[in-house]
Amino acid sequence: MKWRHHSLTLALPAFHTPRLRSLTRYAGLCLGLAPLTLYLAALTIVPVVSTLLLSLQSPQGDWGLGAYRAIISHYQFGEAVANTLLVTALGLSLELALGLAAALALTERRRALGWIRIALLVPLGVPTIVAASAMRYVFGTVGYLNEVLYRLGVIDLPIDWTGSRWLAVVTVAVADAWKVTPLVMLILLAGLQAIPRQLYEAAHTDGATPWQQFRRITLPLLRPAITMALIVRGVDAFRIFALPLALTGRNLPVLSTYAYVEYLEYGNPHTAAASSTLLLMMILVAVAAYLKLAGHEEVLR
Amino acid sequence: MRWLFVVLGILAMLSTWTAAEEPALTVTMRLAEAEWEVMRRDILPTFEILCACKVRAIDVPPEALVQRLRAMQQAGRMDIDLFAQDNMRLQELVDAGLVSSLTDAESKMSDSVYPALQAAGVIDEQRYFVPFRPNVQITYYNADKFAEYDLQPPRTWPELLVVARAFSERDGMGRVLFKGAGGAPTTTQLYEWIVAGGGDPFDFAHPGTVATFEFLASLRPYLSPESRRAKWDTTNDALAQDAAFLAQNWPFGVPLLVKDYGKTTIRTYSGWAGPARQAHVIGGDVLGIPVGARNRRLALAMIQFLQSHMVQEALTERLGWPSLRSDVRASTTEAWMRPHAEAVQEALSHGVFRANVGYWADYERLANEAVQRILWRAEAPATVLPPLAERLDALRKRE
Repeated sequence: MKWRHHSLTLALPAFHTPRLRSLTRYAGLCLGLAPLTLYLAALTIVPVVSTLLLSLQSPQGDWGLGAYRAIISHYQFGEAVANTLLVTALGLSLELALGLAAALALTERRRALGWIRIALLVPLGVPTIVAASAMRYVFGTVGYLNEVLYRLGVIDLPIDWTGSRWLAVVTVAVADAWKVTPLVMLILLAGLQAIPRQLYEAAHTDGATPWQQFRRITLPLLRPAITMALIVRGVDAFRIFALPLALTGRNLPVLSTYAYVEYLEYGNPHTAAASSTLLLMMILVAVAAYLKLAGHEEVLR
Repeated sequence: MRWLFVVLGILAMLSTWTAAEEPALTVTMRLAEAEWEVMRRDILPTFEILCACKVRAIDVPPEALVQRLRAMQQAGRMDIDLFAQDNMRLQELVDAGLVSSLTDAESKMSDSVYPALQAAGVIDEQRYFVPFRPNVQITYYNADKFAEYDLQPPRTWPELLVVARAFSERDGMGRVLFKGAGGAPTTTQLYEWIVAGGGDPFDFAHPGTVATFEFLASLRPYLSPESRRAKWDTTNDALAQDAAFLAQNWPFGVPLLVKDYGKTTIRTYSGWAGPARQAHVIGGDVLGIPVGARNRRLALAMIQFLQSHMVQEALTERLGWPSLRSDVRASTTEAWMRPHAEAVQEALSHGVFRANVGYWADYERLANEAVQRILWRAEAPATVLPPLAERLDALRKRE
């Protein structure tokens, strides 16, 4: 083996320079990261840059902000932005509240609870478009929810759950929460189970009430998990698409459905790209704002 | 283990050989689920046997076809051999240079194909498309509910208003459906109503067009809430679930409602007349071959096959499609289907062809905005229409 070493040394004298030595040290790392880097470049960075460039062009190929001016002056665009924010805020609040409640209830390691956990995860496995179709049967004017409320004597006439804008926002947020709360629950459950039991035992010995334990131990130590859940779900919530389209048609435009209609129905890839770019900006701003508020260390942790 | 690799190798070679022996034809259409079932079960396998080929049939909506063809053309790989396209979205295909001339198919077209339908495929004095499926909307009504409320299916706009109001007052919610979800379903229906109202669909300042929107605004409080989500497919759901008792839709809903949902009390008739006339847009699809299609000969054979008496009769019998051939009659349909076929024939006699304009996508945007704001935001036609009329006028002038 020694002669081999010598021949290499002779052939590549620069191998011993500090810079090359550090390169070779990280060669394996670079090689390992290459597939992911290529994947991200091909399927994320290139499409994002292409979309951005497309949004800055007119159908005639001229450069400018015409596509942005066109969508901003459109009567439904402002509404689409507001609806995106409303559905995201309401949906995330619901998912976090329900997910936390479910995670707290299921944190005990008991066999029976395991089955309940599995049952609660079922909506997560349902494809979104199937969930959206199912929700149409629930929230239709002749749907199950109206039927139940009528039989309970709560209503005399069916409610049009997507008839007004505000009701439609609530309906879509509730339908979305049904589908994705299990994901939030799962993240929070993992966070809860990572909290050492001894802390609760010590607090209990010191006479802390369950509410005090929740406020002083659970919530602070659950912050990284909450941050992760909010970011993962927040990005997804901004991009909500199938549910508003299936439940309300075009009566509750959100940015993604707005872009879809512009591209597919009106055949305008430039305004669709402008709308998608603005959606991306909104997501980036929201994530940056949250990180600023919650602190970077939560994510790094 | 070695024998397993040998077997797998032989299988792989066989599959390559079979693929090479059997040419594949890729066809795109936009069909409802029930229509795809008949197409995939009864029609396409026959062609595969006749031509010893494989047919790959894909559902592509009319609004997506242009983008898809353009992307394939730019990539230098045209994977679609034959497409069926909405007859209202033809100009953009020709303008984009995506469709090839079909002059060679013209001589092979049967004399039995209605001349009026043949004419629809000629653009700029060149044949690019051949007829596939003429279609016309009819009116569906729930006969039981009409009898229960002692009402007659409306034949005029004033009668329609009376019926809509009567249902709304008795049930506490509207039962007359207008396809107001947006997109092509809304535009097509609006087009019919404007022509029936004596207006010009491409002029929002025309007195007849304004009168049509005003009538729609007066109907708005009595419309079924499902109208907001109503498209071609969801209209069937609304009728099947008794969320609506009166609605216009294409004939494909008949077998679906009667056979699949068992709604034998659903009847059909041609519909109501506006102040000017009764009007039904002759819609449907035509066939075209993209520029650069790799199996042109097979695609031409498929065109002949789809236009043949055998296929047209099967489509009329099983799906209630009006035939493009004069020698295929509604009388060939099953007994339960005949009244519906007669409604289709009656509607066809009031048929109008939509003008094929290059700015159709932009027109659709304006028409949808008008419906959205007047029907679902309750804005007055007098405030909504003038700016839209100006924009439409600009589009017309640009064309």
